[in-house]
Amino acid sequence: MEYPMKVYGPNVIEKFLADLLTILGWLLVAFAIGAAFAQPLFAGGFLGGLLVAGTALTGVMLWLGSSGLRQNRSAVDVGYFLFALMAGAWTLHGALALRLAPLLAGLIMLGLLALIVYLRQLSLQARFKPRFFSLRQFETMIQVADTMIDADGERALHPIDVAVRVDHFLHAVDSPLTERIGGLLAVVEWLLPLIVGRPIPFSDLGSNERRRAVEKVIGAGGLFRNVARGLKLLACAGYYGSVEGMAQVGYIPFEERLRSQGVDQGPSRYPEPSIPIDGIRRAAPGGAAPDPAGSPDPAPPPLRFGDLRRLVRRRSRVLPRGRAKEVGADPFLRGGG
Amino acid sequence: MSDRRSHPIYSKDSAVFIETGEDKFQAMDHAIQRSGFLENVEAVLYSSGKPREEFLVAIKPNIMTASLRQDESPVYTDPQLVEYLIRRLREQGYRNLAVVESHNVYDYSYRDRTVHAVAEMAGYRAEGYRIEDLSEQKAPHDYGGVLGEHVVGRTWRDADYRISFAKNKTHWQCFYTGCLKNIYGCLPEGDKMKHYHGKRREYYECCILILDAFPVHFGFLDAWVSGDGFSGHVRDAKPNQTKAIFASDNVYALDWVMGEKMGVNPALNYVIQEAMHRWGPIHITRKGNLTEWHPWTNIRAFVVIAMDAIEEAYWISRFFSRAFASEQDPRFRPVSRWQALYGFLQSITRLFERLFVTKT
Repeated sequence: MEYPMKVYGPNVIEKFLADLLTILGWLLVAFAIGAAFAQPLFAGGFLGGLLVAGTALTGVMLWLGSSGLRQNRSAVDVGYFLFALMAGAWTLHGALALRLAPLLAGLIMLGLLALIVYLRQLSLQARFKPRFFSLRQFETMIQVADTMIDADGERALHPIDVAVRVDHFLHAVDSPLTERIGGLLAVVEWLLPLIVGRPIPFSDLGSNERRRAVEKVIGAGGLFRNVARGLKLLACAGYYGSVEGMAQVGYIPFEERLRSQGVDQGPSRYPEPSIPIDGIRRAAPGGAAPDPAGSPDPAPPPLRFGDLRRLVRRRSRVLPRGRAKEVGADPFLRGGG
Repeated sequence: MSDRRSHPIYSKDSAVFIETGEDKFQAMDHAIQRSGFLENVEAVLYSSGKPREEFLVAIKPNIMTASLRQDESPVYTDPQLVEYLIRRLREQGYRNLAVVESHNVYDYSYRDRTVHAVAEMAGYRAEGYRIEDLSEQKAPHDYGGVLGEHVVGRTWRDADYRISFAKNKTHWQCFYTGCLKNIYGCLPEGDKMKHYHGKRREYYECCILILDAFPVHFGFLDAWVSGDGFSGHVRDAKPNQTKAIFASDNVYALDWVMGEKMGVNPALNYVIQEAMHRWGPIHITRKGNLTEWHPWTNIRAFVVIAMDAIEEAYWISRFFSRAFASEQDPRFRPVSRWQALYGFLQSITRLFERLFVTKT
C-alpha cells in the first residue's frame, strides 16, 4: 500500500492515544453500569447516582474525543476534565466513607489520568518542538494564524508553517517586547472567547467562532485593541515574511525584477569623516609643522569656526549611486587618491 | 528566514528500485544498474574534481548489531553483498574505499567489541578496502540543533561519496530501521544511550542531524533475508526469505518504501517523521514488486511508545539494553558476572515477545 506523505499527519502517539481513549470510554461506561448495580459496594443515594452518571458521561466524552483527537478537541478537553473530576470524586468518596472499592477505582483512574495526560503531551511534542512558545501557546498561535490569514481561501502556507515561522522569528529576536507575547496569547486563549460568550479556550473554537471573536476586538478599545493589533502583527510577520507569502501578493525581490538587471547595486559610498591633513596642520598648536627642506613655511591663518563648518558639510555630502568610481579619486575617501 | 525543506539530495523527488530474484548477486547487480548507481558516483566524482584514485567512497553497512556469525543473517548487512558492491566500484577504478562503523550499546555487556573484531566475525575480509572505526577517529564538528558542538568520525566527514547499506528489519524504537537509522551508527560515541537518547536529545533528531550535515549520496537495502518481530533488529529465530535488494539515490525515499513493504505507515516511524519535518514531503516513484511482505510480524505501537518513555532515563535504558541484548560469539566475553542475570531476563523477554507484535 502506498501511503501519502503528510508532514503534519497523525503520529504514532496520537493513534495510540485515540485507541486508548476509546478503550477507556468503554471501561468507564461499563464501570458506571457495574457501580449502579452494586451500590452498596461503591456508593449509594444521590451522591452515588451523581458519581455513576458522571463516570458514564466521562466515558461518552472520551468516545467522542477519540473519534478525532484534532477535530474534536473540545470533546477531548471536556473528557479529560471530567475524568480528572471523577477520579478525584471517587478517591475522595472512598477515603471519606472508608470504602475500599471506590478508593481503588479512584486511584486507578488517577493513574490512568496521569498516563493519558502524559501521552497527550508526548503527542504534541512529536508534532511540534517550539523554540519560543510553550506547547499551549504554539497551538494558540496556529489557530491565530488560521483565523487571521484568509488569503481568499488560497493560502500559500499552512497555519502550522506560519506558527513555526513566528516561533523561530521570536526565538531569534532579542527584545523585551517578546516577554509580553506570552501574555498576549494567554489573553487570546482564555479571555477572547468570553467576548462571544464561549467559556472554552480559543483553540477549541471552530474557525467561524474564532473569526467572530477576533472581529469583535478589532473595533474595540483598551486592552483588546492591543490584542487585535498584536494578533495581526504576529500572523502577518509569519505569513508575509515568508517567500511564499510575498510571492502570493505579487512582491518580486528587487534582484529579480527586470529593471534591476544591469543596475549598479553596489552600496553607496560616502566621504570618510576625517579632517584633511592641511586642516590638521592648521589646527596644530604652534602653527605649521617644520618643513623637512628647512625653508620656513609662511604662518597659516588660524583655524576658524566657519572653516570647520565647511569641512563638515563637505564630508556629509551624499553622492548619487553610480558615482562610486568617480569619487574613488577623492583624496578624502578611504583608499582613494 | 531560510527554508529548511530544500536539501539538494533528500528534498528532491526520487525513484526507489526493488530488485528480486533467486540469486542475490544478480539482484544486486540489477539494483546497481537500474538505479544508475555507477553514473551517480561518476557525477559526484566529476563535480569533486578529484582524481579517481583519491576519491573516497565510504560505505556504512549494518555491522555492530551482529552478535553471532550467520550465513544468512537477518540482523546485519550481508558482507558478501557489501564486498560485491566494492568489487563493482573497483572495476570502475575507485581505490579509496572504506567500510565504516562505530561502537554500540553491546559494549555495556561484552568486551573487545571493536569494529574490526565484529566485522571479522561477520565475514568482512578487508581486501581491496579498509575498515574504519569511527569511534576511534573523533573530530569536533558543530551539527547545530540538539547535538550542537559534538564529534564526527574523520572518514565519514572526509568521504566524497557516502553510501548507506542497511538491513531490512523491524525495530522496537521506531517500527523498522533502514538506511536513515543506519547512519545513526556513524555517530561516534559508543555509549549511545547516554549521548543520543534522553530528555535533551532524541535519537531520531541526532540521526537526522548527521544525515543533514554529511549527506548520504546513495542507499542500498539488503532485504535478501529480513528480521521481523519484537527484536528483529538484534535477533530473529525465524528469518524471512524476502529475497529483494532496494536501491535509491535518496535514502529518505528508500526508507519510506521499505515501510510500505512492511505494511507500516512510514509516517509513524520517528526517524522518518523527523526527516519529513526537516526535508518536507517528496514524490516517490516506486519500481519493482510493491506487494507487502508475507508472512511478516510488525511491532505494536504501544511498544514503540513504551521504549520512547523508557529511554528518557539513562540508567533504565542502559538496563534494558543489557536485558534485551543477544547472546554473543565466545570471543566477546561478558563485562561482569551479573551477565547471567541479564541472560535470564533475555530468556523471559523471548517468552513474552509474542505480546508485542502484530502479524500481517
